[in-house]
Amino acid sequence: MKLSNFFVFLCGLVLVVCSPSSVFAQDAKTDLVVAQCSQLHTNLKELEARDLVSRTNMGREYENIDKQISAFTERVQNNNYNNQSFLDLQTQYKSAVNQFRAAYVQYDDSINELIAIDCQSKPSDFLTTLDKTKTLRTAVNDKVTSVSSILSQYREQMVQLQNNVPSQNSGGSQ
Amino acid sequence: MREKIKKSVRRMREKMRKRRLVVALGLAIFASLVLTAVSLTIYKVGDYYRYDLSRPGYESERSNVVSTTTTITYDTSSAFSKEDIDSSISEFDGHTQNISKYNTFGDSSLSDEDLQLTTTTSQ
Repeated sequence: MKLSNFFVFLCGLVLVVCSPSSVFAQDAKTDLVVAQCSQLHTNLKELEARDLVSRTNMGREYENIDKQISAFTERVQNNNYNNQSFLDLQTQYKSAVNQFRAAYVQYDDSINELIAIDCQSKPSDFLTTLDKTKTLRTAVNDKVTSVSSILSQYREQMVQLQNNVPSQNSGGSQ
Repeated sequence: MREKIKKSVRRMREKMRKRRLVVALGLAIFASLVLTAVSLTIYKVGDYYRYDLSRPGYESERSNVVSTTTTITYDTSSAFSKEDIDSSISEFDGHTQNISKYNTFGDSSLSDEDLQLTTTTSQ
């Protein structure tokens, strides 16, 4: 009997000592959410507006790039150079930009959902959605990185082509 | 009964003939109301309004939107020279630099630190 009591005590002790500190940290975080609820809402609304500006500016710039590389790829073909690598990268670029747009929509949906949550009465829901929103915002940034990677490959192709093209002074027609 | 209906239809037609302008104006207003309702429904249901910075309350954000002044047309047919490609690369670099400048999605705005959700326990 004494041994079983000791065993129960030991288990309890292990649970208390080994219980993850994150549980306490999570409780403290939940308290912070409740305490700073209105400030959090203000910050999130400002962030959403800032990101919308960023999305708008980036979307326009992506369209400008699309116009430029479409024309450049066409000109490469019209100059009888092999434009297959340019075409492939152009296709990849369009697909990556579409993925960026879709990722932004998902992120924007999530941040709107987060703003709509009453963080005073549902702090744990708020924290769960906050984690999801963070992941989706990172995903948007990953898509931006993918587009940039394709663009740098396109630039490399442009430089390679430049090395094969005659200079204006050496008889190349304008 | 039929006669009555026919008579009332005739009267309506006569009235409409006499007031053609009023009827035409009424139809035009009705058509524009229908078209406005359809476009507003698409705007609302398609969630397009959420990405519209011309809404009230976004005045300060609107000033941060970079406006593109001219629509550039590119030469797609004439022969290439090194200098042409050089200027294309310069323009291309300008666009990619702008992308890096506009991108805010890589910052730490949603981190616990920025949202002040960190608990600093002093030992």
